[in-house]
Amino acid sequence: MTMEKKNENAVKEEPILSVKNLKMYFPTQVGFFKTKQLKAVDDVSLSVKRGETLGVVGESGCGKTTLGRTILHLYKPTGGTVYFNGRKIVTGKDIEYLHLHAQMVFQDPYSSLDPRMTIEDIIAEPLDAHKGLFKKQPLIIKEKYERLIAAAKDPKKARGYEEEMEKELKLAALPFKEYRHARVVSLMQTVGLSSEQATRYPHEFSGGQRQRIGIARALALNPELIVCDEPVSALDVSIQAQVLNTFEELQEKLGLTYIFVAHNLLVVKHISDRIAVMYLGHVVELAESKKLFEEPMHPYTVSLLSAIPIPDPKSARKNERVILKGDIPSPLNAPSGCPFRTRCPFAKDACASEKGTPVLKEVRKGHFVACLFPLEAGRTGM
Amino acid sequence: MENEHLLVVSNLHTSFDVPAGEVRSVAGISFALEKGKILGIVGESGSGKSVTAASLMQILSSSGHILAGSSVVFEGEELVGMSEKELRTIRGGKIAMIFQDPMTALNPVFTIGRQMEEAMLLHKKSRVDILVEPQVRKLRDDETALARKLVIRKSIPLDDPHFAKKTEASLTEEKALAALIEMDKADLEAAKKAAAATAEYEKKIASDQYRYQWKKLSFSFKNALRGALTEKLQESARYANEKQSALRNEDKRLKEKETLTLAAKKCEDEKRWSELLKPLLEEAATKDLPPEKRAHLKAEILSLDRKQTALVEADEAAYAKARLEAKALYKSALVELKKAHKSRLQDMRSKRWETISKAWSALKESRDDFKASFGVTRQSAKKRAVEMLTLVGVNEPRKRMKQYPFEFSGGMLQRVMIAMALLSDPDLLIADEPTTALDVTIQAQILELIRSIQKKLGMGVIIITHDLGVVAQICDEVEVMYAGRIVERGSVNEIFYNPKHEYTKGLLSSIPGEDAQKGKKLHPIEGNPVDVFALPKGCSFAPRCERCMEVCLSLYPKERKVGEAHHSSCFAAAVDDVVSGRLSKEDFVAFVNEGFPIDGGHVKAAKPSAFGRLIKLAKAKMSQKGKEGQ
Repeated sequence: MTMEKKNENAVKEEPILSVKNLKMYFPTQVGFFKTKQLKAVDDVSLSVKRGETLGVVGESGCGKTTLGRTILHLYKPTGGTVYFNGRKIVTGKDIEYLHLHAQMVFQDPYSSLDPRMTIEDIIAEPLDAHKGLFKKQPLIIKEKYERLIAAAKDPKKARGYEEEMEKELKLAALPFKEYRHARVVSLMQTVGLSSEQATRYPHEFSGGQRQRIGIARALALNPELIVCDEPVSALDVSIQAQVLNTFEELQEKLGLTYIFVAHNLLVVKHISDRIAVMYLGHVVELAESKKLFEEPMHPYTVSLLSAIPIPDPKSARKNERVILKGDIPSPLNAPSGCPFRTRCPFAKDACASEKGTPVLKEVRKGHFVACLFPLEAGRTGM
Repeated sequence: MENEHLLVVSNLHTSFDVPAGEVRSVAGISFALEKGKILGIVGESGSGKSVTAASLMQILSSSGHILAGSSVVFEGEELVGMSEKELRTIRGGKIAMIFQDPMTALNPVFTIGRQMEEAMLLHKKSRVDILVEPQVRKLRDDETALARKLVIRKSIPLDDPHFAKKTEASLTEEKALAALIEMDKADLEAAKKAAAATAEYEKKIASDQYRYQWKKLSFSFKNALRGALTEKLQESARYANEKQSALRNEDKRLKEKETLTLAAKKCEDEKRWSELLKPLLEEAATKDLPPEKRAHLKAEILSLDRKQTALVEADEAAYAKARLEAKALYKSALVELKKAHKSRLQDMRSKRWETISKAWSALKESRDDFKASFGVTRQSAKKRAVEMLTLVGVNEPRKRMKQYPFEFSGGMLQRVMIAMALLSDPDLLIADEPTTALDVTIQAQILELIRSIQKKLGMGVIIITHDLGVVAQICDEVEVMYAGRIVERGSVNEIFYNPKHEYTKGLLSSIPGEDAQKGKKLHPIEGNPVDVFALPKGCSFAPRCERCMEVCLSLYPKERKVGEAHHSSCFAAAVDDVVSGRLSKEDFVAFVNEGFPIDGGHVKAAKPSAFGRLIKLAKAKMSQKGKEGQ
């Protein structure tokens, strides 16, 4: 009993994903002979707990999409390491392991589906790609759900996971061809599509339905982590709400972990447990979403939050805006020291020094800020 | 009164010819916009909001056309059916538009400055024309009023019991108007004269200014030259002086080294030598010394002597080295001096250049002013473009005007688009998703900008967006569109806090609000946005509506006033009003009866093409042959 408890605690503490000093530089042509490193993601460290949603927000060009892709090793990182389920991702085998358990939902539902494939083929493509591992599938499913059940606090939830596992195992016992079809049907039902549509082609679906297809494809391999790259920004408002609800239901049911990349702050607030704010390739603030919205400590977060167009005329007009001067600097020649200092209303001389580049520090419990002079709680008037 | 409204749209229908038939993207919308108000048009994709904007400007693609019976009245002028030539004087002049994507709306091969000037040069006017514009406008307004009166009088039916009375009243009014027009004409003449005088005066002022600037420039140029000469002389004298003092310094230091350090060392060495040598010499002076001992002593004395010589030599070498070092030091000091001298010269030159260039740019500006006093010219257009770019917050506008669109960031380009739209002081600004392509921080800047400029210039603004947050932030009035129709319109507070259409309610509940947090479920609208090719017979929103009733499926509700400046077309809202006692049962029945069915969607079967007819013919022949064969 005690052993079990200890084990449980250990599992709870272990994050599903942790990223250490991740760097992604792209060589970019700046002159005829000259190339320069574009630092899309620069020295990012964070960890994601099992079953939570980590929101990543920032302006365009801040590297949030690149971060998601680099975590999944869709780009080979320039530096730093990624640990998934405690396993260091280095070799090709590790990457295969990562891709088996972590999947991605793409931004544009119109260009991320092959127009010449039927929906069934699209959803089953990950299964076909990892066909060699089909015999291991029961083992993978068992492992995944055991981890989930161990991490679950609520016994009811644990029972739900057990039921899910049994269902999955029953399916996985079938021969591959039958399994493939049955899996596609069950996936389509899970994301709210009818299974009769399996033989259709992508152009016959609307934007929301296509995004559901993308989600079903990401779910095909029973992943534990899904990186969602702006999954709702191309959708209409009413459809956006439907897809967001689907995401939440899936998390509830399958114990998924999300990294949710988006630029719409209200959507991120709605879906995330914790939020990381990015600026010019750096994570400048990381905190629980409620804390972040109530007591932002980085000047950039404060201005970002004040710029949200709130769909409520009275509070939208009451809200005093912190309007930043100028545009986001080009990541090709980022400012020395603190990346935000060129637009920061509080910038001091110390912020510009090369040595003073602020690193992410835990200022309060669970509230990380990368700023030399973080704002005190309640002091948001700028 | 129509005159109070800037824009009155009534029963606007726009349809597109597509291979499948005809799609009515805008199906009979009516609204009015007052001067100085911001109107927001909200809807999902395919609701017809952008087509509405394009219809107002009449810039539809070739397959689209506005149907007969539609009317768009702008400042008392009917735009529908106006000739292209007349429209061109209005487009970009009185009605300006900001497009969604600045990257595609600007021409990539021309500089920003050129594109901005072009917009103004197209609406070219002389200075006098600009000055008498209000008088011309007043005259035109009165003339149109008279024409309208005439039409109304002629349309009074003969069997009207008050025919005589009405005609009489109209005639007196017409007389008054005619007198007013005469007065206007006189005013215009007077204004023209005054304007000519003003223009002349302005020209004189500007040319005086120009001449004064010329003089100032030549004076400052001469001054700069003279100053430069004296400065240069002073500088070279200073440099020579410094060189001299450096040399003197060096000599002094060298001498100090020689006299103090080296002499002292030599002295000390000699002293030590004599001290060492003394006992040996004394010993050698004793007479009874064994010969071997004496030889040994001699050798020792000799070696000491040799050591001493070496020491002195080393001292001398050290002295030589020190001398060399000192010389090198002197040389480097000279180099430093020369560098400082050069940089001082450079500074002087750049300072002089600055004063001259400042005078030169002032001259250029006054020349622009001078030329601008002739009316709209390239120079005045440039000046105004610079003013506008400064207004929208573009730094270094003169420099930026020489750049191409690709050299700007998205936010900056959108500012340029806004500046371009505002160049000709429009009375109406139509902004089609002005901030959709931008980041939130830039979006906040742009919205603030539009609002502040609107307040300053007092124009009417129509903002088309899908973002309810944007609407909440800056609009005064809101129209919600669905499937080409306005389903609800009213003031922004009414729409947000008291929505009277199920679609509006659905939209509001499907976006996460300020109090969003995890675990709080959104309440989305079920189903997909409407398919314009297959509209239902009744309310277009009925298939997705939670409170859909039987009547909703067969009839489209007529627009109903539900509050102060708040209209909606919804049966469910009417039922609510009956329950709360705000609507009587009789009125409700009348309202339901006023509903109308939409005929078979808007899609009409297309005429078969020539190719299609051929195929049909061929098929018919084939089947005939087959029958014959049997």
